[in-house]
Amino acid sequence: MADDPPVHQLDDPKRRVDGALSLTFGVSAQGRTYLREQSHRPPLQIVRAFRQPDGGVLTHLHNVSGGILGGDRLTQEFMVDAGAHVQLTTTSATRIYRAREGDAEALQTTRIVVGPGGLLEYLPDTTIPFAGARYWQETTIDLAQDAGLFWWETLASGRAAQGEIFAYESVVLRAVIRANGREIAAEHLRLEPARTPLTSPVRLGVYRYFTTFYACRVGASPQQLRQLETDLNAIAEERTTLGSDVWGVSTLPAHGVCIRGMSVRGLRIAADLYAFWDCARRALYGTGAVAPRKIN
Amino acid sequence: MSIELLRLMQIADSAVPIGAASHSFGIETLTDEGSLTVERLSEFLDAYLAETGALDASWCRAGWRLARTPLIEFTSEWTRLSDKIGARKPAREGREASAMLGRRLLQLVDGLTPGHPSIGEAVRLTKQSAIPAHHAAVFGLAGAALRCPEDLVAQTYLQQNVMGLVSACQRLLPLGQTAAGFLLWDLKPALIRAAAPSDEEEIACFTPSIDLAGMRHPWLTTRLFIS
Repeated sequence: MADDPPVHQLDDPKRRVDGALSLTFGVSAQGRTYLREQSHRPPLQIVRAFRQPDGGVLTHLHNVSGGILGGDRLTQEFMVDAGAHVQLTTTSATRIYRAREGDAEALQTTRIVVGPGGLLEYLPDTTIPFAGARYWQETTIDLAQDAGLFWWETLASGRAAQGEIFAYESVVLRAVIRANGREIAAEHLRLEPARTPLTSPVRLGVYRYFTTFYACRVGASPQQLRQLETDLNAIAEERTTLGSDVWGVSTLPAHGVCIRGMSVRGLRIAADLYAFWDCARRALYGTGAVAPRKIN
Repeated sequence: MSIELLRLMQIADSAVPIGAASHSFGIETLTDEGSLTVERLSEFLDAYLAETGALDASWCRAGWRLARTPLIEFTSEWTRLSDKIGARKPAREGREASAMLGRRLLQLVDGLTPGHPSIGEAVRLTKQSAIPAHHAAVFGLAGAALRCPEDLVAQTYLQQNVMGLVSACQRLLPLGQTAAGFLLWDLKPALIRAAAPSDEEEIACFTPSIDLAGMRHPWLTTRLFIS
């Protein structure tokens, strides 16, 4: 069974999935965020937007094919209007399946724009690249004045329970965050375990999970951000056990902080991220984090 | 040997008073936490050059090329390059160190080669508009101002960079002068590979251990280095 091709490719091996999801969130006359426009093309879709206690909305991102297959092209676009508060999460981990011979690498492109005073909390579950997976991800985020962003991303080593540790072919993660048009954070990570050993002390060393969390509010003062760095580092120290889980925090050149972590087993990552998120949200917005309701 | 090469060697020397010897760029944390030992140093520096070294070399080359840009475009391009470099340095101390070393080198070169338009404009941007002048880009700019070829400038930048790291390791680990010399000698092929020009629009770099070490450095109990 494991070697059977996915159903959508049975008839035409070269046929590729070209999924798309576009969401625009606006603010009603009553000041409440709502899903103003949406369009989607399978396998990407959403079901509805849930009201949050703070007047914002929560939406779960679904991939009805259960994961990302070799050759898939997925395009996401999230627009957050001025003053809208939005939380986006996935329904479960994102599985990147093994690419079949001849498949192009799977590509997911996400474009995000947060308008003045808007807030986006983009909190996907862990990405798990299966053995033989080839995956390329591009994320571009533009933040206007006083816009906010809480975005994390965790990459697993593979299906550890199946003994798949760094058995994928390649994972490329590219991201750019701009504030008022100027880059404040960017990364271009290329992980090819067979070519460049990920266990190098420069790369992951003994760790198998890798997490990055950006917490930003455009216009936050340097003093406010340095204090936030100090507060978050106290949490990082408390939650670091060398050889098991390690965390670090730094201010970005402006408007936010970057939190980075590595873990051997990944069991505490979700709880640790929540602690950082709650602290950063209180510092930048005066209220704590509201964990997304999961429907899975 | 040309006078240009002699001048390039001078600004790349560890004795140049810009403060490079005060920075370990996260290595102090790695040694303190036991992640980096003498036994793994060669492997570490080889991977460091393949990742961070290649990225730094691309910025050095970008700085070199900007020296030939008309001044009317230089200001916006230099600002964009500065933003780009800063955005790709997640650890605050390492980012601030890069900007500090770059600013001091820029001032030094401005004094040594007065009247170079790009150098003068970069100095002005640093002073008046607080645009950080990152070390790799400034070294490239300076190399072009000294009329040295791009490849040589990128290789020399990495050479002085990795020599600085090995020097930091000598103060942090039981690494003697002879062993350090052999280590640097054997790294030359990796250095040449890292400094080579790339067709990629942007160089990939995956160094989470170094990033985390840089982020955790301010919280070490005892520190020999600023970063």
